[in-house]
Amino acid sequence: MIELKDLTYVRLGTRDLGTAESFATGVLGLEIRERHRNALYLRSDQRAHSLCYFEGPPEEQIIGFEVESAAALNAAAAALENLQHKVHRGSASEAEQRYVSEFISFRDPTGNQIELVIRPQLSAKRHFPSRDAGITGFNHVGMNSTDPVRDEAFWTQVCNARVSDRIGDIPLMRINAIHHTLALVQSSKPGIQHINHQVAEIDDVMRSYYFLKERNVPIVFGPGRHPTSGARFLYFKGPDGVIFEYSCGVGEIANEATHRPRQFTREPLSFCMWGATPGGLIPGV
Amino acid sequence: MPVVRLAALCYARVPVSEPAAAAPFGEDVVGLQRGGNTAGEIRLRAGALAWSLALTDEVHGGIGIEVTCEAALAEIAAALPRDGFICEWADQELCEQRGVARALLVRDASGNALELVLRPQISARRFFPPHDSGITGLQTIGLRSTNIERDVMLWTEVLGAWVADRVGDITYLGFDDAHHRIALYPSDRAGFLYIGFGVVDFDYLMQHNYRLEARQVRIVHGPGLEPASGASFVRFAGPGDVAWSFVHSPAMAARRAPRQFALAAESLCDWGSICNDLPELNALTAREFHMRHHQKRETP
Repeated sequence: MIELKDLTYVRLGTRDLGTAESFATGVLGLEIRERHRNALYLRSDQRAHSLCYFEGPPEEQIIGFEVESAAALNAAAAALENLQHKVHRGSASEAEQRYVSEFISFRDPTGNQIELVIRPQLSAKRHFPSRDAGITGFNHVGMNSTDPVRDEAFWTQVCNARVSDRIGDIPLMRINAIHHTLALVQSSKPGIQHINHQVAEIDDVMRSYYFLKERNVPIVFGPGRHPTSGARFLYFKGPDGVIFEYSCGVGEIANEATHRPRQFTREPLSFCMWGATPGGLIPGV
Repeated sequence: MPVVRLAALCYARVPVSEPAAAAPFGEDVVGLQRGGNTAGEIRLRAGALAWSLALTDEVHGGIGIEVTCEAALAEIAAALPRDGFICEWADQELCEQRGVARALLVRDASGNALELVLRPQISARRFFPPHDSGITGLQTIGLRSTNIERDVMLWTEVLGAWVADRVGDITYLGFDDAHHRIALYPSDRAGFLYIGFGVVDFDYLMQHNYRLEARQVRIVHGPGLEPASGASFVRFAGPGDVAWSFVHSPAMAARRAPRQFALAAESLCDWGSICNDLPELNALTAREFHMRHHQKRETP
């Protein structure tokens, strides 16, 4: 089994690095780690970087997870190849670009680009954001899935993800105590469904709501509260149509051994208990 | 320090053109419970009290506040004329109509009607709203003031309330375990600015926010956070010349000396909501009222 330890980064292709930079710093509130000619590296917490915009097609969206060791990485590569997933071993320069010591990349059954990395770098420099959005860290991603039932099996049987709760057939899955680190949402094509950053408190969610509205950033969903994780949230649209989320107060699974996933109805209230409607974020809801 | 003579906020009497037509708003939209019937007005419950809101066809509204005891009420009645305020005792019929043992009818310096009452009636039947509104009671009232200094003097020196905090000359007044129950806003007229119903938690507040949106009720301010009290609120248009609101107040920290907040947008809402409908609640337009008060003060 592939033991995912943590979510490490997302990499987003874009044709317009300038727009991406002004959004990431002026709206989202991340800190620039480094600017390369073809890429922009951004921090949101102690990680050396957690988001990279690179010059490339916007369909190219990559999610990186950490595994324990070189041995675990090799075992993962073997297991994936055994299941007929094509595995690419990252070169030294590619690894350097990702602030990791080694990585492999592959596609999940939907075709999402996944990278498994070891020894992702932290920065000793205290994270200092570009605006006071209250971000405490990069937290989770939603992934598109052309078949959530099949993909849930991949993430829970080939990898170590566990389902915390389900809304209809959308699994919210954890790889540690945090209620969910990845979620699978029905879609016709691969891609990142949303990127979450945690903020310190509800005041940060609400302040950003008015901050974004004033700047005409499209608010997609919220402010609201997920009945599943208990998190208060706000979803909004960034460059290339990528959806970002701020949230606070995401729950933890208290007892790993005894937790049983709860099944929520597939209706708007299961996504927001306050009554906000998921504005096209969830197909058919 | 003056003796606190006020015990509890009891009721708001809001003039509306047709009480019966306004009642469904109070019940179905806001989630108050219909109280007993009284000629010319609709009474609504928000908690244990027999009624907390009257939608009345009278021209003038008013607020009802319970006084701590008979002696305190007598002291107030004696002090008011000395300080140049008008007051009169309600007759038996009016007391019965209000459901109180005694009532002293007072006008503040702006002309707002205050009814200082003893023994307001509680209903033994528990509060059961028409939907899951999470309402805990009448929490706060915002009043317009044309003479903020005299009005604050009435509340503090005669009634024994204290100034909790100020935003410019906006004055929050407390007298019990809440940060404030009354807020006075400089204005060019008297009357209600808002009435606020407390809700159990912030979830209820936001559920109301979306419920109001779904019913196309105009939200005039919020969802927002009042920095002085830490209360979250959503204020909305409803029947009568008053904004209605839901409020969720955190447990009050220890009482401290009143703080002075600048008259600025962030002092009226920490999160950034702007009120464009009520000039008293918008830092830019409120400035004019504050200036006028200052001019009045400087030219006696």
